[in-house]
Amino acid sequence: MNIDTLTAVLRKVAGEDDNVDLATDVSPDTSFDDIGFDSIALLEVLNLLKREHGVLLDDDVLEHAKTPAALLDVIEEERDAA
Amino acid sequence: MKPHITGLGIVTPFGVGVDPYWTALLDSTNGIGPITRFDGGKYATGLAGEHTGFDPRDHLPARLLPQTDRVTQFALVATREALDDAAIPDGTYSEHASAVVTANNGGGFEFAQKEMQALWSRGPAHVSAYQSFAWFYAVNTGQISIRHNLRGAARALVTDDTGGMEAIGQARRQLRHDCELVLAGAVDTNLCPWGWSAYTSAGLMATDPDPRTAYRPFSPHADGFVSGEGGAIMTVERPDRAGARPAYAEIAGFASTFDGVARDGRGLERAIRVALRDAEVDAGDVDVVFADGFGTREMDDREARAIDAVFGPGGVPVTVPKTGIGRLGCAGSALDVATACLAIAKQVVPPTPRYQLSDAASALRVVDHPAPGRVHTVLVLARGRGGFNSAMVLTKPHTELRQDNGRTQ
Repeated sequence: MNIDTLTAVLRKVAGEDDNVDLATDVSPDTSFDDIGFDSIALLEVLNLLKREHGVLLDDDVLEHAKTPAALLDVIEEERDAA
Repeated sequence: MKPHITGLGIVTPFGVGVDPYWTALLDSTNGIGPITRFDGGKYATGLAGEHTGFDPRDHLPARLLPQTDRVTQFALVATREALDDAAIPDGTYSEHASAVVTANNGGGFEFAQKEMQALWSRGPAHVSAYQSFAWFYAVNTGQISIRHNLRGAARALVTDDTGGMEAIGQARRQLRHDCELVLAGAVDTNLCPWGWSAYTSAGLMATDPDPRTAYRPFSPHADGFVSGEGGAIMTVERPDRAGARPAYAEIAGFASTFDGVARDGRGLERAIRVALRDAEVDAGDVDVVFADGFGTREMDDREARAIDAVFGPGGVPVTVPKTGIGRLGCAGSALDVATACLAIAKQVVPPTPRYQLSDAASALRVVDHPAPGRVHTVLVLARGRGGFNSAMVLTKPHTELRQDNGRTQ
């Protein structure tokens, strides 16, 4: 998975914020907090990753993965481990 | 301390805002028609007071859309309107002394329906995490609190169609305790197949397919109600906080009773008497009654008897402005309070559209055209299925009454 795919998932979950363009404004290191993702939104991200991309992640990864880049790292680790 | 209602946020089949609503009321515009959101032809009734032109993207950040039902979108829009109408910018209030109280009949019906469809057709993994709150009765209160940073009490009431008025009554209680500002009221919508099934199954809705005659409170031909969507959220403030800003009305009195299985209508009469006593006004001081107007013969007869018992036959003008849009679930009673505020501010009683006098209610003096005149004291009535009764007395703000007296002397 690459950052563009993950960004597409984020956009689908949260809708496009009027003040934040996910495609251009968000660097992979912007925190989820700063782009307005609360805990429920992140749970929905995990749901979508499972449903549409077959990526199974436990809820507790969210304690450490605070940015898109960090979440992408976790996804890759899971894939390598599997 | 009589709380001031200082701002109104209104969403109705006539659109968003006070002005289109008030204009439509004075013109007796009909807001009832065939449902467009889904095929209503499969149900006992396919008529509703639908807000057809609503696009949430015109009013709300895109970020909120995937996590909100239509009912919550209405609630957030109405709240923004109320704060703007009261000239209260975000952040100018003490967040811990500012509360939210809303009512709901069905929560996010449509959101829940979509997630149930996903659950049964595709499995649990396909249910949105937002379902955890988006369907829920308290969701409007929560989303309003989050968006406007209101961290005093947050309450949600479920008392069928009296709910909107109960929320405003609860606001008064909150102001007496620890708050200076409360966002209070209700919006409701049941316009999806799941919500519509819940309503039509009770057999209380009008089956007449003609939008002009289906909902006829206090008519001899009344055979049920038509359901509508929308409602009102208002800013209710301590008078010392409202200061010199204008208020629509004061909440002078409020009472609730419950009949349970004793459906003789005496509970409504009792609510009226207690509310008048609470307001310290005599029946003779009431300029107009906004009736509940349930729309079935039995319920209309009971309400007419309660009004007659307190005011005497023909003793007070009565109006049911909601006849043009249907009953908005629990939100109709909040909208009636808002409409009473407008009647006081504009000194005009809005009419009951398409009124035909009922034999049984023949003693009622129903207002069937806009009636300019003295509107200082209004009694608003609400009832819910199963025996809920509420009555609220609204009066012209005392500061304005003193000015009026000064002018006439």
